[in-house]
Amino acid sequence: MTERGEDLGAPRRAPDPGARWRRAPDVRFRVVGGEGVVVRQTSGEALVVDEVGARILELLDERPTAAEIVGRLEAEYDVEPERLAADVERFLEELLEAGIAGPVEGAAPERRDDEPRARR
Amino acid sequence: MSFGAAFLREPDLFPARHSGETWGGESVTIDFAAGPYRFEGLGREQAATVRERFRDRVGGRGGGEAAVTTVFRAAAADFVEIDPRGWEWTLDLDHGPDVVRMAGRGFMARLDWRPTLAGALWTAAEGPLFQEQFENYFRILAAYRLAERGGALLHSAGIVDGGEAFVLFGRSGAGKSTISRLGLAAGRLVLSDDLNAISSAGGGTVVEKVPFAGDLGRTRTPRQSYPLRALLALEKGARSARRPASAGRTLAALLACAPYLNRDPYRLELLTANLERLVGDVETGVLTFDLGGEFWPLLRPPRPRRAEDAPR
Repeated sequence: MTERGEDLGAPRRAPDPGARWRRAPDVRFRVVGGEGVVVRQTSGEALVVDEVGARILELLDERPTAAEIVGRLEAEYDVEPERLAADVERFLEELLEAGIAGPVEGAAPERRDDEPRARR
Repeated sequence: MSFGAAFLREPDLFPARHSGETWGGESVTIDFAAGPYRFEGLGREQAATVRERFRDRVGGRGGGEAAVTTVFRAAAADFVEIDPRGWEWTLDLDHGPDVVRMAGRGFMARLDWRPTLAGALWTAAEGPLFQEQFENYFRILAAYRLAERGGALLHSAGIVDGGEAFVLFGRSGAGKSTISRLGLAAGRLVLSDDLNAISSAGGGTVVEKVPFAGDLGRTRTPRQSYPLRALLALEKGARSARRPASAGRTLAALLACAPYLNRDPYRLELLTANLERLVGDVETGVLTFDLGGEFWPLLRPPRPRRAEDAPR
């Protein structure tokens, strides 16, 4: 689901399967032409994810578990559940490796309210 | 390491306001994309240095509110002594909702939105070190000013062909300098091989040479801007080719090539919006090029034929 432009971070240990996921604090993303453009502010690096990847990144606002992500996508896309679960797991591992997202164990689903507002 | 610690002896004493003793009463206005930019409080030697360095740009075409920067005195003892031989450093930047603070070799500065953009620079230098500080500061100021005006500063090669500008962008090692040299050898006007300013003018998008970057930054070029024809990501390849790229991929590549703002959490959204608009307005794609110059025709691919033009 991702196309990495550059090496964005070192691999980390595999998360707990029940962990809740969130985007890294320095990550911003937007959907452009059906793709997700992801920027890591601390490095200035950017990468592109496909439509489903963009949807998963959106869902991370709610700090879901992997199973909750699969459940949401099952309802939105016509895809075989087992394959979807495997793809989501792999994608989350890619996000973790790239430093774009990670598990927040013990955190309740909630929106972040400490994100800085953009200046226009 | 906390902000400024590499350059300032007392980072906690970083000025909170544009205050202090100016170096003198000299003022220089530099006309450049998204400008004019006016620098006040300069000492005589500092002003002469700036005027000489930017002699092609001093003075204004008029029009537009100037971004004003005041230059203040600082004590040499305020700064960490750095021997520049044998190493390179990057400026230390710190972002806030209404401020960008910066620290570098022998200087500190801040940009404030009050609500318009205004800057202050504190230095103990007058000569060559001041010129280096000034250029480092001006580059960042210009990046923010351009973004405010709907444009962007891009790491890119800017080549003019047939009166139109092609911005060939890419990170270090992508081939910007190489393709610029090929452009010069082929008789094209090269604006810059490192940084180019993209801004809006007269309902269109234009490209202007950045006077303080790259091997060509110090060369004289016509004081004018050129309509932007295409934004092409540079990639190394065995043969020349041009291929389309999705809007998302182009935007991601552009973001990686837009210095300063792409690491500013408070203004990244502004930069992204500007670049997204650019991507929608001009031709985009990916260009690989060979050293033999076979790529020039690829800059201007034949336009799709309209049905009414077809022979009957």
